[in-house]
Amino acid sequence: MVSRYTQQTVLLANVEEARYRILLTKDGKSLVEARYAVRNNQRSFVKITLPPGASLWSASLADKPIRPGSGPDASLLLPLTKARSGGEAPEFAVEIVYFIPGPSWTDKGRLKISLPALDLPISRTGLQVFYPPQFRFLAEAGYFRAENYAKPISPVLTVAVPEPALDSAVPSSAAVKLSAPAAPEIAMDANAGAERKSEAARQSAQTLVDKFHASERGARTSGILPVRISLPAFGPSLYLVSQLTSENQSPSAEFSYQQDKKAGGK
Amino acid sequence: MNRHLLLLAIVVLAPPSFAQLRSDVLPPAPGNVTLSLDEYNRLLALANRPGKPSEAPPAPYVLKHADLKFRIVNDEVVGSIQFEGETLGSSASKVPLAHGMTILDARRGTKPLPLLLESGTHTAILPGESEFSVSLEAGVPLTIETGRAFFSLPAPSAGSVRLSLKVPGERTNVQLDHGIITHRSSAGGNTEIEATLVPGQTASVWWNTREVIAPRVPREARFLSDVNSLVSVTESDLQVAALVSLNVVQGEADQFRVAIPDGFEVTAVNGASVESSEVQNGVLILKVAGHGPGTHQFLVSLERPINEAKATLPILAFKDAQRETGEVLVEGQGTFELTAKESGGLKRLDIREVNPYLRALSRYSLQAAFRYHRQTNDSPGLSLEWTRFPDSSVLAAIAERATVTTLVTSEGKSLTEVRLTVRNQAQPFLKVDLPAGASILTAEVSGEKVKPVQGTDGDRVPLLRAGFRPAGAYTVSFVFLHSGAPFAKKGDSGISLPRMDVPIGVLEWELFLPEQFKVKDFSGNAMSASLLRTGYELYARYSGGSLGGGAGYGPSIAGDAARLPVNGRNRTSWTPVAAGVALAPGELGGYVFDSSGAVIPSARVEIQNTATQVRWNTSATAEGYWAVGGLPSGNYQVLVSAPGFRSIQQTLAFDEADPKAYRVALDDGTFSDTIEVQAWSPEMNREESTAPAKDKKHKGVPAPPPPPPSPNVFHLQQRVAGVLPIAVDVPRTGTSYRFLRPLVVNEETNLSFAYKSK
Repeated sequence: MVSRYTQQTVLLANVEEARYRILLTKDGKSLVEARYAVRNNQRSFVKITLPPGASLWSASLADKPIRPGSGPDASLLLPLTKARSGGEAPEFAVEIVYFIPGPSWTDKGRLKISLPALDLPISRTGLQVFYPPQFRFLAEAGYFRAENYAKPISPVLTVAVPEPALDSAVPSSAAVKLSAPAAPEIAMDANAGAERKSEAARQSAQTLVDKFHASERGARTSGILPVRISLPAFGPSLYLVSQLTSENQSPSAEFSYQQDKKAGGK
Repeated sequence: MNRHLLLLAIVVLAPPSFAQLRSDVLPPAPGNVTLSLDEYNRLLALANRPGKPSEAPPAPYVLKHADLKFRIVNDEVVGSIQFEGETLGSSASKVPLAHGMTILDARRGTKPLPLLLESGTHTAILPGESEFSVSLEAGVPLTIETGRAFFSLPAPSAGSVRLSLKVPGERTNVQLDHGIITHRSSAGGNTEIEATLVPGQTASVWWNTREVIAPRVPREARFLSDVNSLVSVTESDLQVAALVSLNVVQGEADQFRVAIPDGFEVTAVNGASVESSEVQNGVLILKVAGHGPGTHQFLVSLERPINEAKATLPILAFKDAQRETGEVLVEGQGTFELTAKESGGLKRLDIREVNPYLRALSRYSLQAAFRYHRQTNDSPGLSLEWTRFPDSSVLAAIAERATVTTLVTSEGKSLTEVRLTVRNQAQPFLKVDLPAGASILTAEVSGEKVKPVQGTDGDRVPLLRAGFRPAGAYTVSFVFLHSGAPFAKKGDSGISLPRMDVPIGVLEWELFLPEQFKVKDFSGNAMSASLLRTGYELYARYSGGSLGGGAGYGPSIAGDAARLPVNGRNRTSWTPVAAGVALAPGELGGYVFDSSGAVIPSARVEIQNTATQVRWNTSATAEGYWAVGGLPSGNYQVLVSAPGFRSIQQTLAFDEADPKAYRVALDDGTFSDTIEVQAWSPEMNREESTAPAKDKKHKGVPAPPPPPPSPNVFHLQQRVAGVLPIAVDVPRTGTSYRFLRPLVVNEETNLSFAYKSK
């Protein structure tokens, strides 16, 4: 007797770590920097639903600015890097920065911050909130819990990627140039003559690639890419964490604030 | 009568008789002879005399003639010898024929002739007293040396010896000794000579040789094709960039042909061996140099417009290719979902496994990859369908920082300089909503003077710097003048900064008010800088983990305020911007700026422990930030340098438990300039106001030293007479108040205050 089992669906992509940094201002504005360390095998893009009223300022994939698509439900569609099947999918960073207006703070009140919903599960989340220094700011019990600040675990969220070279309008040849080990090994390279031919072929191919990118075709782009935005870490901050956010869930954190007269509040 | 008849008979019959006698002497004429007796006796005596004995011939044979006909076959000289001669003896004779050569066959007439080999001489035994004709098939070795071929040919001892020799090559210069060449001719790729040899001697024959190149016969060209195609689905067209590698394995190929798919247009053809290309009847013909075996690589670009969200992908096929392989990589511009249906020999491939050079061609998001090996009667095909999502709007420009300096006179005039650190992808202008009556006096973009413009809805400052340089931050500044109400003895007043259509991350505002007034009760949407305990770490990312959150940001501590960046006008100096905060224990770091307040990316920082001489080197990031960790407490000499700036060197006392971040400002200079800054404690750098504020809230808050005048102010002095009341050499006269405001988004920043004359 043979029993046949139905294969279970498995996860094609996952967010290993999400890091949010939020700048809150007294006049109710919020600037949110969301960075996700994503592992992906086959997904073409991740769908991100921003909180109501949010407007996207910037987006990047692996520290390269991108223009995300807009889904039919006004969600953002950010393309993902696909990994080699069967191998361990490497992490890469997806980052968005968005702005939310809001009502001005009063002397005392509560504040709820909703975070974006992703169609991918998130293993761990860190939330750092910078608030106006003239207020006392406390996190309410809820989905997040307060902890001492800790650096991100994911290396793609900790490594500072240098800016692209100044004055670079097109990808430099170095950026697309393939290192020798990355070039394909040809089985016929058994002797020196064949190696020379192979090297010549590689150089010829590299020259054609360089020429392609240097040409107008290679540099042609459509639309305007977003600027890189660094969130100003202005004011004191709180740090909160949570684990295991399921897909399409919009986590939120609640806070209470009160004007601190000792700190200059009136 | 009888006599007459006899004479007649003699006359008639005589001619035949004479003719018979001439032709046949022996038979005597019939008839009778009448002799005398003496004559008869004498004849008898002669007849009875005994005869002489017979003599032997002088030679047993005679070789009258030898005719040699030889030709060159490979490394030998082969041919025939025809002898003509006669044996003279009555018995059989030995006739020596040839020596010094190899006899392959011997015949007399058509019958085989046995030969004897006596002392190296081939001898025939021939019957006596007869003529003979003997033919031999013979050969001699040919010696071939570099550029020369020769052989020796023993000439038979015949009465005459003739040689006919055929050697390869047209007009070959054949030489001969012991003989005379009598005739030369060339035909059919050979040279033929005729010569007379000296009988009985060995003739030497030689000639110069050349490499005989066989005439080239065109061979059928056979080549293998490998076509790696990048298919780009853009918003308006379908582009194909084919990286073609053709490996000619046999024959000569001076051109290749590939059919252009329907609707496509060839936009570019590149390749080192491409001499020319042309399109004829829908076929792209690539003419190449170097016709022999080898590899040709081309990059062929095609494109066609797309009007719908699907397409059938063309796969280029070179005509007469012996084997066709290739890969297809599909990429898409923008955000879209693509469905690919492969057919024929097309097999789906992992994107990471495609040819690295094909991947290097890509510019957009990769969607799918395929590989094929075209089989007979099996054409690979690919159909694409996609759903494109519109792009989200994003921010094209942002001002990370705005540094504003405002001077207010008691007459109510205010002069404000706004200096923005901008990141801009494409926004051409900065719209500035100035208050009524205000006007922009001067403006600069990245250090270059620009002309502000005025529209119906407000003033605009050019925002793009020269050349298309979307990466990196740069400064944009402008100065405007506003005439407000003059100060009375006491009252309330206010001042505002214009709305700008570029979001500002953090706005720093330094306000100089007339010192003859007491000012209090500031309000507005900017907060006093004193609310931050120290200088703040803006734009701190997760670099190195040194810039953490939480710690270091807190409420103000009295008397430790206003050590903020001084509006980008620091003189060459070291300023601690964060005392003991924002850096991990044992970490030393900071920011590097130029004299205008703009960050200096990639500045080099060298740190040396003065006691142990241990050195550390690092470079500033694109945002001017640098940090070195793991330093023990001690004195360190820090050298900061950047191309085009005057280096600065400072000796610092470093406490690993109390790390400090320093703001370093470099002056313009040459590479070799270095300024040695005397060591000082952080306290020594506290800024002192030229006119100490007497306002209680600002009592004890150190004011900055008078900075050098801004270049903009100089220009203002030259060009705008109305601003002359503000002394150029003391542009920041009065009492300084500092304010901060994070996140200014297309809105005014305003301050109001109460004042009272002192």
